[in-house]
Amino acid sequence: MKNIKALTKFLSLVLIKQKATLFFVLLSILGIGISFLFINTNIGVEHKLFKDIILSMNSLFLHFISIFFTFLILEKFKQGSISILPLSLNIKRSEYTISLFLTMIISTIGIFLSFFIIDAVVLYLIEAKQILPFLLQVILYYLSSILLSYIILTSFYLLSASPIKAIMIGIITFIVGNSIDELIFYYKNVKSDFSKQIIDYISYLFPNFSLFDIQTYVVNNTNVNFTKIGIESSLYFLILSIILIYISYFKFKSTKVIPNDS
Amino acid sequence: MIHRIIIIILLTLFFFFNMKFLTEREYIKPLDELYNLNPTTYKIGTNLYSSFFADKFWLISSNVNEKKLKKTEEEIKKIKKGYLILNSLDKNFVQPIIYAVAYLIINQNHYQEGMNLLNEALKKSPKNSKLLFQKLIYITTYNPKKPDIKEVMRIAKELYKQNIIYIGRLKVSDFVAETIDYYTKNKNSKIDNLKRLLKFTKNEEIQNDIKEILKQYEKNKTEGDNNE
Repeated sequence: MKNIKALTKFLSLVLIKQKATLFFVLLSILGIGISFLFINTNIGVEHKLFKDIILSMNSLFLHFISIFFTFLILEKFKQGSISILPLSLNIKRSEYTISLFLTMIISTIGIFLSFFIIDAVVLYLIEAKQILPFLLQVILYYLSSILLSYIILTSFYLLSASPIKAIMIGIITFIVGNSIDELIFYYKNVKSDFSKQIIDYISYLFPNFSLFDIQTYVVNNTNVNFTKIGIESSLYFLILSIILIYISYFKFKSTKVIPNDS
Repeated sequence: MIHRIIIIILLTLFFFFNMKFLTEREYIKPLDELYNLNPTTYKIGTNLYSSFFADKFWLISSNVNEKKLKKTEEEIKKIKKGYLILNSLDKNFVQPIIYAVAYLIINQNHYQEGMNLLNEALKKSPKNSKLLFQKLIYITTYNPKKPDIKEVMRIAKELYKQNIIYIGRLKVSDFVAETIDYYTKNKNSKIDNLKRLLKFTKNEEIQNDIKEILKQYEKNKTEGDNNE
């Protein structure tokens, strides 16, 4: 446990010290400032445009920063500065993988909390409806961004490819996983049985990211059981992340780590 | 030095070209080319930002559609396609669909196109009370043919189950109750309404008039029951 704690602290400090962290927080505050221009624009639902802009801004930055951090970690891994650590400090490989996955949570939690607090204060001040579901949506976006980084890490372990290839695989799975619900709906109504079966299999294979997207319900003030959605999607996140950590651990166990000379 | 001058010239040329294109471009027309795509591709393409794009689409399209009073069939198909795209982007954002259906049925006299659009929207959110209420109104009032009674009853009962009294500023509950009464030919409905009127009237003369009418109705009802 001590090793995991120390390693995660070390790795996340490496990431947080990047200037990009502050830059992203400032950008998001700027985004919220811009969205105040549209606060009185009425498009049928109260504060819809305002909420939409804030939520899409938050999701964009959360996903972007998680991809950026994983890229940094993988680059360091590839260069050999981190991959020597388990060998030189006599840390177990299981501890090392767990700490690598935990770093993704710890390093991005600061940015997530800043978004969360700013959103809560702004929505409270303008007296918007459905503040709690809105904040739940921010949490779910955070979870999905972490899941995205986990997928990138696992694909890097599995294929032992370059970081950019792993990121490409992660983004493709994210796009497919996000549109699974829509595809299932479309093929249920329109197309033949064969294509329906293919879509079913795809939905079993890819992680369903559309579970984390409840923006239409939040923004349009619809009555849905939000606690049920929150519990379901967080359970889904837990199970999937444990599976991903296990897979990457077993792969890492069998590979030989040879540091580069460069 | 020469390189700097060349770069400055190129930049100024770029600036003027940009200015020309920006001023000559029409902002609404390029959307027409997008109508050829499948609505589902929009949802997949915009991904997490679909709800935001729906807002943008709605803000632009509402300006487009109010330009002409009478439209050709092609234009009406385009409007329908545009709103289908909007619905696929944000399925719970029903206000634009309600607007488009009202525009097609009331303003353009295209009952079938409007109902098709409404049915497509209802496929995605089948229990949405606002859409169901719209459908009930158009089936019962704007329908050129006789309405299918089973369909009317299904919608009315679904709305009744949800126990909705108001939608926006409209009072829904009475309308739904009365349509159920009308289509099931419930004789008590008129008497109930008159009794409700009696409660709210304070003028004694009107109260007496209503009481007389009520007596007549109750007489007729008992006679009718005896005959049956």
